[in-house]
Formats: sequence, structure tokens, C-alpha cells
Amino acid sequence: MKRRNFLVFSALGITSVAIPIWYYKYRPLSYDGLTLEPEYLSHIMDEQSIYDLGSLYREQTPGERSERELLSLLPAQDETSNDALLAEIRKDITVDYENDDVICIDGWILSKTEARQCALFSLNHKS
Amino acid sequence: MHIDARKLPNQSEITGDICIVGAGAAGISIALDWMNRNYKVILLEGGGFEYDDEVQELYNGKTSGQKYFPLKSARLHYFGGTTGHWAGMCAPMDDLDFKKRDWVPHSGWPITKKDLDPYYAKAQETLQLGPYNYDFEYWRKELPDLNPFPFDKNVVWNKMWQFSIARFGKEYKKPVVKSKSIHLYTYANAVELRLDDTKKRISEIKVANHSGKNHTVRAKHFIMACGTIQNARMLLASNTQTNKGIGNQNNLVGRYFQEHLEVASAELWLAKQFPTDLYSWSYGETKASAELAIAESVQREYKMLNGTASLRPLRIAQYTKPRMETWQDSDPRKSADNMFANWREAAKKGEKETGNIEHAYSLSTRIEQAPNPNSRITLGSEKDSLGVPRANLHWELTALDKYSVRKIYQILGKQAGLSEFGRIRLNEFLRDENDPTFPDSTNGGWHHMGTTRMSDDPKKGVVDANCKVHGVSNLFIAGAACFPTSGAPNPTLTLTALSLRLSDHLKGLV
Repeated sequence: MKRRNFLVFSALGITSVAIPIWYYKYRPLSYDGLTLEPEYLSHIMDEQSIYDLGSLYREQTPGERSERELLSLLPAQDETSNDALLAEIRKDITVDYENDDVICIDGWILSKTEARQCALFSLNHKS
Repeated sequence: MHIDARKLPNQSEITGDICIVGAGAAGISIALDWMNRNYKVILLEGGGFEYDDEVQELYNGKTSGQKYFPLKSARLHYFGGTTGHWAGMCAPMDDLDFKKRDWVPHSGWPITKKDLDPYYAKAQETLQLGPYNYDFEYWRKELPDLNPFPFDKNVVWNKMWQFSIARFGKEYKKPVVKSKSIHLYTYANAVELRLDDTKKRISEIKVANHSGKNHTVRAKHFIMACGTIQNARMLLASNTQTNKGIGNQNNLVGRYFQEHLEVASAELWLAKQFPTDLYSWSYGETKASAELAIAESVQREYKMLNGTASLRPLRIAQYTKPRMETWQDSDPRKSADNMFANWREAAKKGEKETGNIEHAYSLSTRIEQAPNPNSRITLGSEKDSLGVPRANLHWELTALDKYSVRKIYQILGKQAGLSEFGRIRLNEFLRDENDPTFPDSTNGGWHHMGTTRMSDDPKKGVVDANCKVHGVSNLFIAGAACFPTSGAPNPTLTLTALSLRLSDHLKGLV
């Protein structure tokens, strides 16, 4: 193989591996707005409070500070409808409370799922 | 019959079959139980029928440890005792309260709730309450709108309360004064208990008053019923014949002082109004209401103390100052005025609040204090105006107390979330799980218990299962001083029941 061809094929090979990896890691994320909205908390507190809770959660929970990390722990976004996604989130919240998978943030005793929703909310809104 | 001890000739000798020292809920309940019997019952009251500051001053003493109310204003010193201004909240202790719990050091009574049940029923009458029935389902049928929160009954249950408006001073003055068998002596302060030569019987009690009169009371049996602090003080101060005081051979008198911790601990926020009258209370109107209590199996699982949570609208509660702050005047009348003024102000401010807070509650804990030998009454170096050393209180709480308060709200938080009913927010003092301390704003309930605790073993308690002082054949203690553990409910119903049980026991002795 000529030197020139070798370089071209090598570059193509690297690119064919790197682009999917890069895309997987840094692709623009899209997800349903429902994931951002802790349903029950939105009835009892304002957006600023949800934002503050989310920020605190991210501070005290290493490994759950980015959108990507949080989304990987929240219900999958491939639900066919809003209702299905909402039902999935509600179910996860109930399971959290059943399993004692709760966290105390600023005194609030919250399910991990709704705390993650707050955290995601805080990444998508300004204080 | 009523005799003012100030008007008796000095050095009078008073004799009777039984002598009850103290005319509060315990003492009057026993006296009434002997009203129609052919015995002479001497009932000694240090004060008169009305508030007298000179007499009240005898209750003064120093406090240390956890911040406490001024001792002078923590009880009332006249006929009727502290029922003169009590709130009247009554509920029996739970079965578990009487049991030995391996996670609660020094727990366990030598009697069971079953032993006390007949006397609880009788105490209901003395306290002018409804039937001896504290079952939620019973009251739900009796009263409208007692809608319970949708919590798992196996975890959180509705502990019912009834409410007395009986002020013993007003209610029972007439029958006591008219009684032929009860000889009520007012202004007759016990200042010393004297043993006979065997040192195993009380031979007499010395009484005194501010008119300079000193009298002697002789009886077959003596019952100390002057309150948890004063009972211990009198036993300790009667130390001229025994160095340590009477009944104190094992250095237990005064120890294990317990209070109910009553402290605003959390908030419950609901998405919408929940119409119910189950958890609210209005003095003189409410017949029965509930507090949220933790099931026995859950207490066992988490190794926690027994406590409940009461509810108040947060919009008002947020402006209510801790009683430990408003009740700091040594004059109980002024402290009461301060407290009520704050309550009125809080209600006024709270009425203006709107929004989500309209469906939020403040949750207040009411919980037993873990028995602690270092939480205690001792004698001070200063003497009162009748020459008796003053009582000092060192109130000491433990990590188990703090853990248990926090645990109640963690359990409620889980229940509120599970049922999608609401969310709980812990108050700041509960958020750090490594902090075992309580803030100065922690209230007691003015419930003094435990300084002459009950045990079959003289090395573990001052009185036996019949409230007789170990080692002294004719000396008994009536009241909450005998409680080995304090349970969650206010003590008056239980101390009245226990006093009536003692009264029955005495009937078999005279």
C-alpha cells in the first residue's frame, strides 16, 4: 500500500470509531419536559425552591451532576406517551419510598427520583 | 372539713389514719376515694385556695443542663395544684410503655397496662372525661369529620386524646371541705419526714407555714403527693436521721427525672387541602382528637422511643415562639400571659398568610425521654423561707432522645411520600444525623416524672409496684414520680390512675 493510501485509510478508520464515540458522549440530549418536573413538589413549592433543591442535590451527590448522568438514572425517555412516562416516574417515586431510597435535602425527605428531577430542572433553568 | 393551719395553736398535733401530702391531681384523687369511708384522712396543702406568691416561692430552685422553665413557675402551689392551669390533655400510655425494651436502658415497669386499666377507667371519671375508650374507630363513629390521613395503619396510627376541663381546685373544693372524713389543712407545708426508732416507719411529718406555726402530723400511713420534684426534695431533705435522706439507701431518689420533649420538629406540606377535624383541638370544645403515633413493631425495628406528632397550621405555627422562650418569668401568671399573648399574635399574623402554606402543617413532637440517671433532682445549698433546702434540677437528654425524634419524621416522610399525600421537611435541628444535641428552644411539657421510680428491685427503684418506698413500711409516693418511663402522653391520666390503684392498695392495709 502506498504511504498516501495508508494515511487516508487510517484517518477514515479512526474517524469511523471516534465520531460515534464522540456522538454518544456529547450528542445533544433531548428528553421530555415531564422528566424535568417533579410533579408533587411543583404543587407545594415554587420554581426557585425546586431549582435550589436540585442544585443542592447535585452538590451533595457526586456522579449525578450532569444531565447525562441524571438522565441515565431517570425513567427511560422512550415511553410512547406523556401519560406512560408520567406513570413510569410516579412508579419509580413510589418504589423509592418503599425501598427507603430517599434523601434529605435542605430538610426535605424526597425520593431519589424526584430529587434527580429537581437536579435536572436546575441544569435547565437559571436561578 | 377545712382547717387553716395558720390559725391553729402553734405546735398542734394532728392525727389520722392516712396522711396525704399535697392536694393536686394525685392527692385529691386519693382523698376523694376515701370520702365515704369511716377513716380520718388528713390532706395537707402547702398553699390556700388561691395563688399566693410567698407559697409559690417555695418551689424556686436552680436548673442546669438542657434549658428549662423557672422551677417556681413550672407547677402551681395551691389547692388543686397544676390542674389550676393545665390544658387537660389525656390519653393512656400504650402497652409497650410498660414493657422492658432492650433498646431503652432502664425501661420496664413492674406492672402492665392491664393492671392499670380498671384505674384508668376510674380516673376518667375523676378527670370528668368521656368513656375509657381511646379507639379511633369508636370516636370516628361518635364525632363527625374525623378523616384520617391515608397512612399505613401498621406503621402510623391515630392515637386518640380526650380533653378534661376539670380544675380540681374549683371542682373538688366543695366536696372535700364538706366531707367529714377528709380533713384538709391548708398552709400546711411538709418540711420534714421523721422516722421512728426502727428507721423503717415514718412516725410523723413536720409542717410549717409563713405565720410561724409549726405542727406535727401523725398517721398510720403517709402518702407523698406533692409532685415529682417536691416528692424527691422532701425525701432528700429529710436527712437528719439518715445521711442520704429517706428511701435513698441506693442513691436513686431524684434520679431519672424525665420530661416530655415537646418540640416543633418538621413541616408537612400537602398539594391540596385535606378536610378533617381529626388532628385539631380547641380548648373546651374538642371532645377527642388524634396525634400521629408510630406502631410498636416499627419502634422495635428502629429501636426508638415512643412518641407522637401533633399538627398545627403552619401559617400560624411559624409565628409561634417556643414556650421555653415565652415561659421564662418565675411568676407563673406572667409566664402564662406572655405565652398566650404570643399565641394571639401568631394567630393574627397567620390569618393573613395565603398560598401553598394554607395546606401546610407544623408537626410537633411529643415523646418520652429516655430514662437517664444523670437527669436528676438534688438539694441546693440555699434554703427556702421555711428552712428546707431548695431543689435543683439538672435536665439531661441523650442521643437516643434526638435519634427518636428525628426517626419519627423520617418514618412520616416515607409514609407521606408513599401515599402521595404530602412531603415532610425536617426542621433545622434534626438535619444533621451526627448532632445529638437539642436547641435551647426545646420545650418540656411541664411534665415532671421519674424521680422515685418504680421497681421490684430496691437497687433499681425507690418504690415498689404498690408505690411503697422500699425499706419504709408506711410511706407511699403518689404521682408521676413513680413512672419508670414516661410514655408519650401527658401524665395526668396515668398518674391519677396510678394514685387510685395505690388508694385501693391502702384500703387493704388500714
